[in-house]
Order: sequence, then structure tokens, then C-alpha cells
Amino acid sequence: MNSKEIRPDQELIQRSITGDQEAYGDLYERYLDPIYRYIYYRVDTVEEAEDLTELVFIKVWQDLRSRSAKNVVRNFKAWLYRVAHNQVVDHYRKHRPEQFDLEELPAESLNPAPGTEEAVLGKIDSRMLAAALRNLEEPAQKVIILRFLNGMSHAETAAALDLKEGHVRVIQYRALKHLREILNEENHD
Amino acid sequence: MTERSNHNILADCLDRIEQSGESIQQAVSHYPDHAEELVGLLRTFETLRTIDVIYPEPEFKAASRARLLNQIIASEKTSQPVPVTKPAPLRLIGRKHTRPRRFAMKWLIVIGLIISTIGGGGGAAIAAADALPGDMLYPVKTSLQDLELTFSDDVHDIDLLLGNLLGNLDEMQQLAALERYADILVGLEEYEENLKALIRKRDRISYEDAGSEQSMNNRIQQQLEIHAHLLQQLELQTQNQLRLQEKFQQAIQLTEQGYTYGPNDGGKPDEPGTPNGPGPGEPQGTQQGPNKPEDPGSGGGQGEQGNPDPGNEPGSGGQGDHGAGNQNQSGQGEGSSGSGQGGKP
Repeated sequence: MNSKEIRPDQELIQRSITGDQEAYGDLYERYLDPIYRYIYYRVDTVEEAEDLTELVFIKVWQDLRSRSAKNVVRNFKAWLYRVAHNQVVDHYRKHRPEQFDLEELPAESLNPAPGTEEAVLGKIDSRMLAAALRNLEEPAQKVIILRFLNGMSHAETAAALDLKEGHVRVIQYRALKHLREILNEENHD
Repeated sequence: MTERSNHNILADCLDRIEQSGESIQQAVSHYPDHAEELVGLLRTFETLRTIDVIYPEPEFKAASRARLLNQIIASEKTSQPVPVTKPAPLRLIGRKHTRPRRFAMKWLIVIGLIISTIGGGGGAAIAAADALPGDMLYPVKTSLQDLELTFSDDVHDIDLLLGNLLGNLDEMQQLAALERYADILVGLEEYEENLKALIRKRDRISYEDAGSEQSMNNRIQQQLEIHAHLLQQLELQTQNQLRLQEKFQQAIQLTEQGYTYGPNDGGKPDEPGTPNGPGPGEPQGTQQGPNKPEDPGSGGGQGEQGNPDPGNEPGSGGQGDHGAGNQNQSGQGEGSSGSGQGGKP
């Protein structure tokens, strides 16, 4: 049995606080993909996503090392997403985000022959979705990304965002409704 | 019907689809009064599920991990007390024969450094921290590294040597950026010296139990794989320098031998410094070296450094009325979104 796979976050965090680079490496492996994905959908380019992802893990390490063993991280996942969120916000303080413009989408995705909703929705790819998400409120962006692109349950999403599950459900409803409107807006004109 | 109930109905339908595998029609059939709105929302959800799952590029993963380790090692070094000493004149002459670290030589270094500390300030040691191969202060830097090794135990020596190797690679990246190609040769020599010292140490060290040994060997293997990858990047970056190409290939081969031939596999080459092919224990198929990156010049920016606050830990204040939230420390739960998803766009 590979002991790496069964080490809980808390153990790895405690060891990281004491400077165990291998333990932090395990946390990095565990969370790199979801954190990258979370950032990817909130920035314009792959390069930005890569840079910010890297920065998140450097900052988290620095913060862990500045803690004492008693000063534990109670919800590491939530904290990690918060650091990632702060990096995105900080990034956009310096670089104004591009606004989503449906006219930039390929014509065939906006004007499918029968003009059905499914035809429009079925054509979008990850970059188009990223652009569309940028038009949602921040909480809505986060919930959509974690729930549907990172595949987390309502409970996991609530834990990661440090929200109550009921709150996540409300945001999810509004987010899907708004996203649907955005993606269909042009087609209905 | 209020929005409050709408969001619960939607959540229930999503759970039915995600967890019970129901179709949209089946899920909506439980709420016929809301069917029209639910179908639209669930179709949007279905669309989201059809988008390919995004993963970071493998090249980015490898390089990012290496840079992260570099940063960690650098930050650890700066957070520890730095020995403020002046270089020993003996070591300024050259450092070719120091790696075997014979007992007498160790003490010569130590005595030299103590004498020079007494005799003068320690500014040179601090200035040497950023020295590159070919710089006048570079021998001071390597002397201090040797000194650090002298006073550490075997297991810590491995950590130090792995850190030194990453440092060597970082130095060579800086030299490549500065187009100081001749000095890269010095850097490569230093890298090889450190690599040989690491392998000697690994082969000599005795562990309390098999688990510790396995863990250490895994770590060394992981890091050397990263080193080989970074060397390949450097090789590509300097491909117009023919003299360097041969040296880089030699260093890559040595590095790959370092992780291909573990201490217990019986197929170790005669001498970790000989780039003459693997010999009797040909590397196994599962131990291939990293793929060559397509983009040799991606030094990988560190992004912005302007945000000093990495973020308040949730639950530790400043979270308004969110409460503590549901603790989920399983650490898993990602990447399972999906039925039929996968691959990279």
C-alpha cells in the first residue's frame, strides 16, 4: 500500500509547518489540478493561470512555514482557494480583465441552423466558458467552477468556499440561471 | 413558488443526475410544476459537463514543481542563520578536490574559515550567496556549502546536496540568460561534483528501516527526474553552443543514471560519474527520462510578487457570516465531475 495516498491533509500540513518539503510536495500534487482549473477559468490565458497557480503554492508554503505547530490551518482547502482567489483579484488590479463579447465567438456557435438553445450551448469550449463566467458575480463564478468544472459536491463546495451548504445552493441556482441567459442572449436577439 | 424552494429543487435534481444517474427528464419528472425552468437550467449544467476537463501542461507541472522547490530551499536558507564568515584563502585557489571531503580537508576548511572570520568581516560570505560560476566569489559560495555539509548528518547531507543541485541548475539558467556560456561549463562541473557526492552518500547511508530508505530513494528519484528535465531545457536553450551540448548530454545521462540505478537494484553502473552507457543493468522501460519540452525558453515567471497577504484563513476571522463551514479534510473530491469527461482540450 502506498502510504502517500492515505495521508490526510492535516498530517501533511503539520509536517509542512515543520519544514517537511516532501509533505508539502504531496499537498502540491493533491491540489495542483483543481487550483489550476479554478484559476484557469478566471483569467484570460494559460500563461496567467500557470503563473498564478505557481504563486499560490509558493505563498501557501511561506505562510505555513511562518506558523507555529499550534497555529493550525483548520480548513486547508478553503484557505488554498482563498489564496488562489486573492491572487486572481490582485492580478486583475494590475491587468484589467477582458470583457466577454459574444460577437467574438465563432459564428457557427451563435447562429446554429435551427437556433435552438442546445445547439448554442453544445458548441462552447473552455475558453468561451471562461469568458462567459467572467460576466457572473464572483461567488457565482466560484460555485460554477468548483461544482461543475472541479466536480465537487454541494458539501465539498461549501467547505472549500467556507460557506453554508444552503448558501451554495442559492448561488448555484442564480449562477446557472444567469449563465444560461448569457449564453443564449445573443441567439435570442 | 419562492426562489428559496427553487434552488433546493434544482439542487435535488442535480444530485439525482450526478449521484443517481437519472436523466434530465427523470429528474424533472419529480417536479412537474417547475419542469420548464428546470429543463433549461439542467441543460446548461449538461453543457458544462461536456466541456473537456482542464489540466495543467505536464511540462508546466514538472518545471513548476522544480521552481517551487527552488523557492522553498531558497526561503529556508534565508530563514536560517547564515554563517557570516570570510572565505578561506585555501578554498579560493580552487575546489576541485574537496568533494570527497576527506577528514583533513574538512578541518582545513573549517580552520581557514574560522581564522578568516576572526581576521575580518563576513561581508564576502553574504555577497557570495548570489555569486554565479565564474564569479570571483563563487568559490566562497561553494566553500560555505561544503562547510554546511561538514556539520550535518548523512540524511541532512542528502537534503543539502539536492538543494545544491537545484541551485546549480538555477545558476546555469541565469548564466544562459546572461549568455555567459563559458561559465556554464563551470556550473556543469559543479553540478556533476554535487551529483557524484549525492550518489556516493546515498549508496553509503544506512537507514533504521526499509521504509525510510524507500522514502529517501523515492525523493531522490523524483528530484533527479526534475533535474534531468531542467538540464534538457538548458540544453535546448543553449543549442547553438556546440561545446555545451556534449556536456549537457553527459550531465543528463549521469542524472538519469542517478535515478535509474537505485542502490538496491543491482544494476548500478560502475561509477556514477562515467557516462559510458548503463552497462549490464540496462534501464528498464518504466524509468524513461522526462520528455523534452517544446519550449526551451520558458523560464517560467513567478507571477506577481505584489500581494503580501496570501489570504486570511477561512474561519479565522474576516469571513462575515459565512460561519466555519463544513470541514472537509479528505483532500479529495476533485476531478470527479464527470461522466464521460477527460482529456485535455
